[in-house]
Amino acid sequence: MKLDSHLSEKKVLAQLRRQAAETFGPMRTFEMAEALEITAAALARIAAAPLDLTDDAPDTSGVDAGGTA
Amino acid sequence: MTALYDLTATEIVRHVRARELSAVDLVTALLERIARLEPEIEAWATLGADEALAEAAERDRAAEAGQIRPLHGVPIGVKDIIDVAGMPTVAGFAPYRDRRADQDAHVVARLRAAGAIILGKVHTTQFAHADPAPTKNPWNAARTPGGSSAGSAAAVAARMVPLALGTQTAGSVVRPAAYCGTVGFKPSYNWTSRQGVIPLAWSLDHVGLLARTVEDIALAYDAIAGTQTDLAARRDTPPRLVLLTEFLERAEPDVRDHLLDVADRLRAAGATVEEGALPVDLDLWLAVHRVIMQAEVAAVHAEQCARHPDDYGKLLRQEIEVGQLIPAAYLLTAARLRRRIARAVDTALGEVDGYLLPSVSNAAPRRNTTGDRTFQAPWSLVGTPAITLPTGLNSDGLPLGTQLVARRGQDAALLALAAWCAQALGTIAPPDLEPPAEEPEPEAVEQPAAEEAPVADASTEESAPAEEPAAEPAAPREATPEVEPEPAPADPEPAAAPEEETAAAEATATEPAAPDVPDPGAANDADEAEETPERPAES
Repeated sequence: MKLDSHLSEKKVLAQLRRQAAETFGPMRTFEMAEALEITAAALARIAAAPLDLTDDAPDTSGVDAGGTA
Repeated sequence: MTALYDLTATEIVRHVRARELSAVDLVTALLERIARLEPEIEAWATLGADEALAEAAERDRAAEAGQIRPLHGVPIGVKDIIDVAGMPTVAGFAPYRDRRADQDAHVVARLRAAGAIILGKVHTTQFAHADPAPTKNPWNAARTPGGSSAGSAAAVAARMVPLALGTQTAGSVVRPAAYCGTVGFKPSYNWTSRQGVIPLAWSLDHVGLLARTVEDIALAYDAIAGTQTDLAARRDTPPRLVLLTEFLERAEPDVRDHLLDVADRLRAAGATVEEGALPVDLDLWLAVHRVIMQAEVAAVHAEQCARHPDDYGKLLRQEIEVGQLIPAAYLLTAARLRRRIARAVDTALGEVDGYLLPSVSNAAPRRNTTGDRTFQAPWSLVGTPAITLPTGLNSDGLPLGTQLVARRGQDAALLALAAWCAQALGTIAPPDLEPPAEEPEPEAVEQPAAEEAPVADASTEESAPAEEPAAEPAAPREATPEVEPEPAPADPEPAAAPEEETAAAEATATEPAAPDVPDPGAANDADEAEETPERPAES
């Protein structure tokens, strides 16, 4: 799925469903329908958030506090 | 006279230090209480009765020799995703039934070194995610204790143990603590090592503490972190707090009204409380948390889930499978946004002493869910410390919590803030779990009048039969109570407490004793449903 700030939640969901069906089969895709919807909404919201090319780099260890797992 | 099971950790250490209390007597009393209440509450996954009694005897001998440690003789419950040497770590996952830990997790080792006694392992939702544990809420067995630290919260609320370890990845310490009417503290991210703790989502997992008082939380925090928190640090400095309106708008009416009342009471005590907004859109914040958590949960569990799909709870399996579908570019964008959100929160919290908000959007719902994580997950994402205080009961007699949040790294400052607020707000009386008929008086110790808990006659209620948890809990383990369990007390008839009773209970619970500062002379010689409106579960 491409990262596109103009991708609608509906289109993200359609792509997630297609991937889920290919990966886990149609029955599991049906069973996880609600979870897919929630995640699609989250992904669409994240893609639409304004981030410039030079804005923040990814947080790589939790909250960048160092990592003593 | 205070029953031994009513003693807080701070009181236990004080009595042990004064040679007024034997650790063996205390552990025996708690084991008897667990044997009586456990059939109803189901808080414990494994009890180490023999080991605990042996440890208690060692603590008594050390006390006789004058060797008193900061948590000397304090019994502790450990969430069953945290290793305790010699005990199974099942994590609610049947294939782990025989997975026995070789050594203590770091946090357990720290507590033990400080003199604590490990009483056993308390139930968790499976792998600290969202499929409900078997545990019931001590205030109402038809209600969830929350999750994922279900057993930790229920055991502390039922006064089976004064202190318990939990973990939080979304809301798993603060929410169950609030649902069960205890104090729950999620310190800053990485405040201590998570060695020996089964991960759920590495960058979000926090070890947390549950107890009945802020003093006890500070005592355990200091023992683990090697700090000396001064709870009286802001005794003469009323705090400046921001009451977050986004959460009030999303809270159920009883929760919103309670928080507004709490704000008024804090103002009356001298605090400055002003309504304000988050520096970041809450829905984006929650979306970032969800995507990072799902991807990490998938990375942790995908392979094992593929081998044992039928042993995984429904909600966790969905999380793992959906998490595998998240594209890398989206995950990295979420991680960029996470940094931006954390920085904005740092800036905003740098100008005040803390945020004030409800701990959860609702009182404990029924047992087919672990509750709503919307009010806790934001703080897990950005690693800020958060604490819930039990500050009232709703009209159904269920606990309501008040949450305080401070800037990253300001754990001690948040504990001092919580101590100030707890003194101003008071607390709630524990759930009434005593048998209706005459029972022999439990062993008791003298309690200084100034330290007596505030008295409020908060009745428990029992309503419709509990719904079955969504996931099959792991089979019970071998180590069981040494004491033959008595039959569970008869369930009281379902009857919502009248509002007048609740109001009376809250009114009588507003004058607690002054915060008890850990003895500075004591040597500190020891070195995670949601939601969500959208989905019925959480972690």
